[in-house]
Amino acid sequence: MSKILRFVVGSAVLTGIGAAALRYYQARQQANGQGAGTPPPPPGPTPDESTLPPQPEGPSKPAAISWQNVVPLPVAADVPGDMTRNWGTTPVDLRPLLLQIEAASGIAGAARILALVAAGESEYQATAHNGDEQKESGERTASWRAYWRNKDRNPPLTFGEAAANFGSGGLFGGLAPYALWTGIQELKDKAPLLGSDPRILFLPRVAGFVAAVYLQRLLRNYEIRDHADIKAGWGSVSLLSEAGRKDPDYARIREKFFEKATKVGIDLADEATIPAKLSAANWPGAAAVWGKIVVTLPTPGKVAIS
Amino acid sequence: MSFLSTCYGADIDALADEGDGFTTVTSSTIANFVLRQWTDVATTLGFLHPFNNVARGLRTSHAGLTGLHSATLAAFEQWHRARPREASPLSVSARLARARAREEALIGHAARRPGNLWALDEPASSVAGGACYEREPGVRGRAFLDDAGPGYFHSVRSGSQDDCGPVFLAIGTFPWVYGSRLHRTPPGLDWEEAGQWSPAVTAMRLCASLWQPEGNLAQDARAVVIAWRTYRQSVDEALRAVPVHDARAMVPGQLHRRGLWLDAQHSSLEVHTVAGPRGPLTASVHNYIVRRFAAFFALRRSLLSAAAQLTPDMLRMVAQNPDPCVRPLVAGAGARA
Repeated sequence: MSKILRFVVGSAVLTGIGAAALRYYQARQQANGQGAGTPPPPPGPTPDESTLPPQPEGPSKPAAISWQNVVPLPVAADVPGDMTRNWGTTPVDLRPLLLQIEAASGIAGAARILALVAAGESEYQATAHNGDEQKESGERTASWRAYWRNKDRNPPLTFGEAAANFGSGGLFGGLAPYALWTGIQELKDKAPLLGSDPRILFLPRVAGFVAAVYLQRLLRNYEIRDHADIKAGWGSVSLLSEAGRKDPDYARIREKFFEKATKVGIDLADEATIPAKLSAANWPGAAAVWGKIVVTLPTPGKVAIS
Repeated sequence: MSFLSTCYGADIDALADEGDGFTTVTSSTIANFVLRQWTDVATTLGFLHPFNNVARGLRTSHAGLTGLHSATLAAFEQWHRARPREASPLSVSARLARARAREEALIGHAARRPGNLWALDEPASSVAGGACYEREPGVRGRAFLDDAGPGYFHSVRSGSQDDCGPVFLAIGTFPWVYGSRLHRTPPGLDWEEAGQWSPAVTAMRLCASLWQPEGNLAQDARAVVIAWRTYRQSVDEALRAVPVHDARAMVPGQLHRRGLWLDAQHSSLEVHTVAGPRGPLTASVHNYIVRRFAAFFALRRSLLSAAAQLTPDMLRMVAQNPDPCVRPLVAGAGARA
């Protein structure tokens, strides 16, 4: 399975990054009046590494489950937009969903950029899972820390421990705890995924909602100098700080992003489909985006899967 | 049960059920059938946007959709020409010669076997132009990939082997023309145009003629029946381990069989490729191929089930058809025409 980087979403972002990034974030908030609408919760005490519960050994191998209340993937007739221009080898049957994310989020250019993110994170496999193999302990450690470091400051997750041991997954490679906390900045304890099993990330509409919210937060709260910065920030926003930009990972991730764009065949300079600067100025709010992309909350089905 | 069952078997009638035919033969029902085929092809291959522009423009024109076929072929040609390509290591003259060899083979096949367009299946020596081109001075190259081994469209082609053949091309399922290469990327779209030669456009035109009434009625459907059964049998073998769809369970990403189709809910079908004994078989490609077969028989059934409504040109095609099972179907209608 492809290497899936991790999401760092929401207030949890602030705990996973250094103080410099926090100061930068706050300075930007003050400087340009931008922001996600609600100030992030104040950073609470971060549990010391030694106080975290011991992480289970071995890969997370959750069984497949069935779902109900799932709206089918959109098809070309469902969404406006050009299904032909500047997609490269993006699967034709995923383009409508990507365009729907772009339309719902109001972020022009999001479709092609997220197509590249999906190429890198999952190779377009909706059920890509990083954490289900022995060698993928890094992703499980990341999700374990993400959960235990933030559970006391964020709304409770019904499947918190499952998310903690999940690693990351889905079309855009969401780190399970942060992905399930998506939207808490705007919706607080009404965020839609708080009660969901992390396997819900395997539903592309849900993964698309998580990606849209995260992309919006990146654009609003961080200095995104070019499209490759989005990919750098996708793995860790700490790479978008001044110190982070000097980290070899920053240059490596950006280089891989440009290579991926060439390989997939998406022209990052085609301003008709990808504006030079993506903007979240037209963000309609997480609730509206949820309503357009996911529509209704999928729930586990009652049929056992053999 | 229709004449398809009587002439070819119930499986062909069932296949036609999947092809979304029509019950009354009018210019409108035919135009809408053609529109559905092109929409499907344009969606699968990725030229939906230019196609929609063409269709939208025609709908508002005085002539309506009657010019759809030629206008769409022009849009396909433009789109195909603009597709990004890897730089070819061949010289300009070699590329020109290769495009010409491909196009000559296709046009020669259409001229020699107008009633058997679905597949070109010949030793190279019988292919127009010989299916060879001059790669570099004194070195011959194959115009088409070597597909002589067992594939989903055919068993081993053991006839005369030479450096450029035998040639097997499934024109009816263009651009998936090679039976051992049913992977996500369509090999027929790699047929580069050069100079005046546009083999991919020519192949698309031949393929599309099979869902035009006259082109369809000119075909000896018995050959298409054999092609379908060969494909179905080899695919069944490859898909033996794929579970049958359970309507009660929606498991994201799980590939399953649903009748003749492959489905993977909430997942791209393009990322599901079965490694079968006859080569890769990508789910979206399988469905595209089934749709091409289904459309062929659906159109055939729709037309011949309403023989009295056929035009004189269509009746003439049926009267000349080598298949003895279809000619009687229009005997009375022919007398009236």
